Amino acid sequence: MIIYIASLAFVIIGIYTIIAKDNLVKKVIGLGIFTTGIHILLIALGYRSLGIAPIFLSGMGLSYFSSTAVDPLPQALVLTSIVIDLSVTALALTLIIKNHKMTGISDASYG
Amino acid sequence: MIASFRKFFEVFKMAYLNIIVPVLLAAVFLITITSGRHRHHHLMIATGGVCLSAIFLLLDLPLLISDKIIVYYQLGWMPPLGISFAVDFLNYMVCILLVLVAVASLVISKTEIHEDKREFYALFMLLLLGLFGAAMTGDIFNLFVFFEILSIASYALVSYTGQKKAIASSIKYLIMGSFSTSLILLGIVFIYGSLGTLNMADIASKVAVSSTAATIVGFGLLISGFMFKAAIAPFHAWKPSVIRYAPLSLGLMFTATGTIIGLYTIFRLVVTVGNLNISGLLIALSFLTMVLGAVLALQTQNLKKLLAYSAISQTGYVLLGIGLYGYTGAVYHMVNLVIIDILLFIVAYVVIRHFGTSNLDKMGGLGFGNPILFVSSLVGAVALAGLPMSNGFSSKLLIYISGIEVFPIATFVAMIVSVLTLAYSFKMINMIFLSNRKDAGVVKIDYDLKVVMVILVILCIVLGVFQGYFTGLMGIISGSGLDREFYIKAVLGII
Repeated sequence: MIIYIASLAFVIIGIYTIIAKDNLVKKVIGLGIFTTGIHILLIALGYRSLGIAPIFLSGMGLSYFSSTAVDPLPQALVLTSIVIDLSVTALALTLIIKNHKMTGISDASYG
Repeated sequence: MIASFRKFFEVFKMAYLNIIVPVLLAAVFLITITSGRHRHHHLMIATGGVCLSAIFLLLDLPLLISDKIIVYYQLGWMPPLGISFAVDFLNYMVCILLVLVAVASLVISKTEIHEDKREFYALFMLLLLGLFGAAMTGDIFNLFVFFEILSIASYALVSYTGQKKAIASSIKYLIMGSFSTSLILLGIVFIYGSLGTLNMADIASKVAVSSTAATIVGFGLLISGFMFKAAIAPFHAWKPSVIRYAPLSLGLMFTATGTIIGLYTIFRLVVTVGNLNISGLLIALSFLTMVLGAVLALQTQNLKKLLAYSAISQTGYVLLGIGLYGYTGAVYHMVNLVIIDILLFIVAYVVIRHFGTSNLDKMGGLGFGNPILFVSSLVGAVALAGLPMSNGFSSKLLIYISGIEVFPIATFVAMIVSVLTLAYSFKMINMIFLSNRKDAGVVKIDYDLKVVMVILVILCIVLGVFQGYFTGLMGIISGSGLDREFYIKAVLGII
């Protein structure tokens, strides 16, 4: 339960940061927090208490595997999403730095 | 005979590989191999990639007509486990429209992008890759990935000119855009959590049986994320500033393809996958979009912004068609909207290049020496406003009729907005072509732009005059999106 509350807190803090802060770097940080909250929620979906890693070994019965292994799909999704998030953040910071060099301003209220 | 014919076309069945891979290869070539020395080679590689995709797309057509849907299972994994690509008539039409827009913006970019910038064409190809992928995939997480590819490419493309304002608008677009794609991801989490699957057909088969509140929340988040891309009213703020500061070839690309792909995904999710009953919400949002876009287009004095607002306003009509269960009219209007958009953007490109500004107050008097330009923008304006004998009329008529059957106030509002559309499109014609400045001279139009303009004018008239025939065709296309049972069975491999 606590993990759902944590992810909700992350999402809310992220959205608040994106909306309320004027500085562009802080907005990007807010985006990161927001996406991290979603990732936590996604990981929590695949969690199973006392679960094993989803690797099918030869000695394992199929019913044992399906009843104890955690769901591998959310982890794959989160991995993809982290890579995407990384590239978006990199592009955003590049643009913000370029904007700052050209105008000396890093606030969203400009322009 | 038929068997060998079929065998020949089975080779092209891998719809996903055949259409995406040429574009991807072009992007890879542009990034790695080409050098900056030969100016036109980059454009040639980009055009070659698009043309190869278009040829493969056409070669897929016989198989599509015989099977009604082409399904490709990636690496042979069947749907609930693996990622599948499903192309039916609706996806196919979306792909054709994307090719049309891409070719038109490449033609504009030939003269607009002066320096030899291979980055431009590489990013352009990546954008197109994302669009094709999003149009063909049958898996919502894959849809999200392709949406991110096209979004990241478009953030980078907006800032491509390197001007201060362009970079500022690119940052704004990036923050709003990645917020909206995060909403899509959150929606996917909710749907996966409640239904346990990511495949569209599997979701469609399970949504009626085991749908919970979380599923509805998930669909709501997904649709609001896609509405951002289509620039539906509460999420439309990015469009005018992006189009104002990007080159016009990109402006066309963002306007038209964003509308196509956003509306297609909304159509697919609301009708085929979710079978959601949210027509009241869609009608309300479409009212907001239509009225807001038309009013803002009336008050602006900037040609680029006017085109952006008009595209927003017209997007509302398609959404209204979906909300009123007038799917044929919605699909028909989507096609018309794209054709009119391309035509008006080409006119705007030529005019802005001639005057050196996009301010409508500083233009005027072009109508006296430029018959081709004048006629094509007149046809564009007439079609936009939906006057009879134009393609805009035939699609708006279908939407009006479905409005009278379902919710008559919608027809009333749509007609009022049509009058506003007439007002702003003729304001545009008046300020560019007719106002009292006589020394405007003759505009130099490149040969290829002229050809594209003539083809589009003919398309506008043909789509308007042969209304009955095209209504039947669009009925088939929208029908393939409506036939849920067939889609589910075909993608899950039951038949």
